[in-house]
Amino acid sequence: MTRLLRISYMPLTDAGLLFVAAAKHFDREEGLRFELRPEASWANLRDKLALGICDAAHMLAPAVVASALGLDGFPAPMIGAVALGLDGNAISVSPSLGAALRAKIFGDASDPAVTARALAEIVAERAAQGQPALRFAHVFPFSSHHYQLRLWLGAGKIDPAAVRLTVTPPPLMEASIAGGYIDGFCVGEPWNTLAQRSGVAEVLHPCCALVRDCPEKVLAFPREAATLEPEISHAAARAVQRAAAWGERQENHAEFCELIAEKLGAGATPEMVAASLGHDGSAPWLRLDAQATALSGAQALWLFVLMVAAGQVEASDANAEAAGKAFWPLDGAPVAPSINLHGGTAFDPAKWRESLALF
Amino acid sequence: MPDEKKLRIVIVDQNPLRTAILRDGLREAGYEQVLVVDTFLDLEVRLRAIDADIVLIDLENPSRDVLEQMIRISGAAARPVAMFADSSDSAMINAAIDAGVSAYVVDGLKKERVKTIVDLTVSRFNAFARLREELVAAQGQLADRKAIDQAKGLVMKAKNIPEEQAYAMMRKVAMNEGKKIAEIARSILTAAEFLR
Repeated sequence: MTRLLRISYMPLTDAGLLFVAAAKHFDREEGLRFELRPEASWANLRDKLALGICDAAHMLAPAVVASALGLDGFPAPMIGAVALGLDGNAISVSPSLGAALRAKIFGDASDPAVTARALAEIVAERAAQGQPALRFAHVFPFSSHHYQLRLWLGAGKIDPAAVRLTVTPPPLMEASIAGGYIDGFCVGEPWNTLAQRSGVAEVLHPCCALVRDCPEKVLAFPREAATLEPEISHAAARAVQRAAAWGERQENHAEFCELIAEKLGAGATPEMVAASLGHDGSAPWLRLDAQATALSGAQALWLFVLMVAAGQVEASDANAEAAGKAFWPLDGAPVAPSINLHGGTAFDPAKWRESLALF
Repeated sequence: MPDEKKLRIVIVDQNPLRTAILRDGLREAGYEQVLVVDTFLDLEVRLRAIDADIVLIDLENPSRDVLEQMIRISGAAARPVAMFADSSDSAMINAAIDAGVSAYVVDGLKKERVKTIVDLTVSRFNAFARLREELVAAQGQLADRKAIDQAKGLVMKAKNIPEEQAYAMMRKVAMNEGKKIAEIARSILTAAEFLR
């Protein structure tokens, strides 16, 4: 007997483990049948999960923490049952902002602190000349994309109020930057690569240059459903882990990337997926390996710190405790990697307040 | 309620027909300030310039995430998603989902006032969906009739028989095979194309 599990997802490379679990029948081996449904917005995923139109969702990890804190105005908290990967975003800028940054860069251009200091000069000059503030787009108020932009600004000691942060749906990023409505964006794959290929943007930094092993997407369940039937969310988590362990093996790399690219469509190719995972020998941006599916309370607390820094929630111990319970690690799962900040220090959950100085 | 009429309602939608149906419905109900935004680029700036009280948007529109951001940062008066924030009215929510409607309240409107507008939007979205179904059905019927006429012409010519007899033959084959006459007509057209 298999149990049908209706899973909604956004068409992004980091939904890949769900595609692979279904295609290689890791879901069946855990007694489930994944029915995957693409959606157009994070808001839609959240609503449909809350209303029981789907059973589980590919969800922004910070949105799950926000729901645990009651920040999304919803009386339906979510939990994270398994991570769907780590990292994966990148900051891209328009060719004109890219050129302006290069003219001011002093040092290693792959260091986000170096580019952020150059950006700080540009921001100050524009303000002095009365030019409109630069605009950067992310994907959702509670998203690592939003916080990674803020981390980059922080690395250059730029006041976030000195630029405009806005939301643009990923399929509209290319047209928005080409039309001059935004000057840069932080988005997940395949959108950076697609925009760079069409020449309207250049990838400036993969976000793992700002923070490595940052929680990104999780498989979310309504807390109520996960409490009533924990075996379902556990089985789904195991299926995802098996897909990751399978994909990790060298002999499966090609098929893994093909399965993901095929399901994504919209111009995504196996080569693009392979490049983001570092299979082609380049530096990986995105982790979809078995260890990257592990969850920890420390990850949830890190996302809480990012929310505090963005002014979305108060820095209280009660909130920190509530946030730390948003992810439900699976017993016997690999240990989630610690989060490494720019400069090489690891995030210490016991000293979370000190991390606020990063911004 | 006189101030009801002053509500600024924005429809974010690229479908001109659906937009027209909804706008007319709202105007008939006495809402005077109904605006339409039909381009999604730079949406946050456009909506801020309009200073809307309520935004109506297709549930499946990717730009819903832009509205999530707007209501988040529009200050203390901001209310989250109108229809989903309060799940006490499940009938309204289900009707809205079936119709594919979502609504965002930008300032602190009372629930009853929002409900009136959402109910109206739901009925208009449904009316649009019915209209579209009828249109698709009408187009199908038109195409069927065209295929039948063409096939009939071919049969008349090939067998040198009058129109009524050709039609009767096609209808008989359709009945025997348990198919629609339009399907038989298309088979004839395909075969004729093949043998030409």
